[in-house]
Amino acid sequence: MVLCECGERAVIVIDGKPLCRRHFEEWLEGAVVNELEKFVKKNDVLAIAVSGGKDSVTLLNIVHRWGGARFFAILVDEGIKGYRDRTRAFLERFCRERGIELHVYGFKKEFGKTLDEFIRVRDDRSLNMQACTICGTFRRYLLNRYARELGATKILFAHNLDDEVQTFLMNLFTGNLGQMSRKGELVGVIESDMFVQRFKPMIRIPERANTVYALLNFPDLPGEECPYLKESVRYRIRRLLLEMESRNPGSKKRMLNVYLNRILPVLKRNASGFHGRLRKCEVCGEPSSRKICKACEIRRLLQRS
Amino acid sequence: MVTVKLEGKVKSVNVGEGATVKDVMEKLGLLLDEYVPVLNGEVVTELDAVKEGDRLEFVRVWSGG
Repeated sequence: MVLCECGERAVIVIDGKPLCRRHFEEWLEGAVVNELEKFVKKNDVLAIAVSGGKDSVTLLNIVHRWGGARFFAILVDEGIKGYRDRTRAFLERFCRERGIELHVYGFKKEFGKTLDEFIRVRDDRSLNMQACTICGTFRRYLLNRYARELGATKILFAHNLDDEVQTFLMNLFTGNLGQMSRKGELVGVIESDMFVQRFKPMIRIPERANTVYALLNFPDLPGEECPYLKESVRYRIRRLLLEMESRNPGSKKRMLNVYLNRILPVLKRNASGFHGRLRKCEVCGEPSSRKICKACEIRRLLQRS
Repeated sequence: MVTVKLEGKVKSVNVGEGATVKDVMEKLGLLLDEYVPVLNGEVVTELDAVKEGDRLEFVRVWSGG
């Protein structure tokens, strides 16, 4: 049996150090609370973007127990049959049992179709568009709009270390310096009343650690993956990083540190060159750097008969 | 023999004396960063020892959250 420094049975090895359940949870929760205390101001109202998956449920649990700011949860139900319905049911019960305010918005009601239905249209017309592009664009659109309308000053995303490094590599492969300059704990470079600041307090927590935390604390949490995952570029980069980390432990953490400490400050200093002027979408009135925002553009493309 | 549960399937794996979870993972070609080992119902580390008659489940680190 592998033991933690305290003599208890270890459940995980973090940075080469075996940790028991208590010390592991103190490490993970402490790291997230440090970020919350560093970035959340006294009068902030937090909208926690939740999916009912391991990362967002862990974040919601930590913010709830922390109690340092007013908060509520927002779920965007994109309508993936056999997947979202299960995580949504878990989340609704989780929030009900803890008295957490939960707001749910769905693609069907907001955009006229579920993601499954949008994908059928995409496939019928042989459009070259990843499910993640449709889903991510609509999701960010709804989260920003409703978090703002509900009075939130920050939207919290439960993106973990793996997500952040994957995104860094995806942007590197496509040469998207504009996207790269907007990342880090606090997302975005343009300040506007129309944009709610995005904040990611879990980007230093490995996905595997969140999985262990979820197995220990929420054993009945559904563990399925999105059925559209395998068509994404992210999936292929994820495989690459899993292999890299397994053979060279600490690779992801080193990459994140180089990105946050060396690359991001340079990109942020030059950010004005990467972004257009902020304006209002001519169709929906939401903020956009283009005449018609990406959500309206995708919606038109997928709804035109 | 250790009984291994992986992706819904059950198989038996021969282990030598002093074998660890990591040895079983290598034998099965599993990536360390992709699975969480659960030995006889308890979450354990990859450094833990396995012995004859153990039940070892590998829970995949599922994406999305």
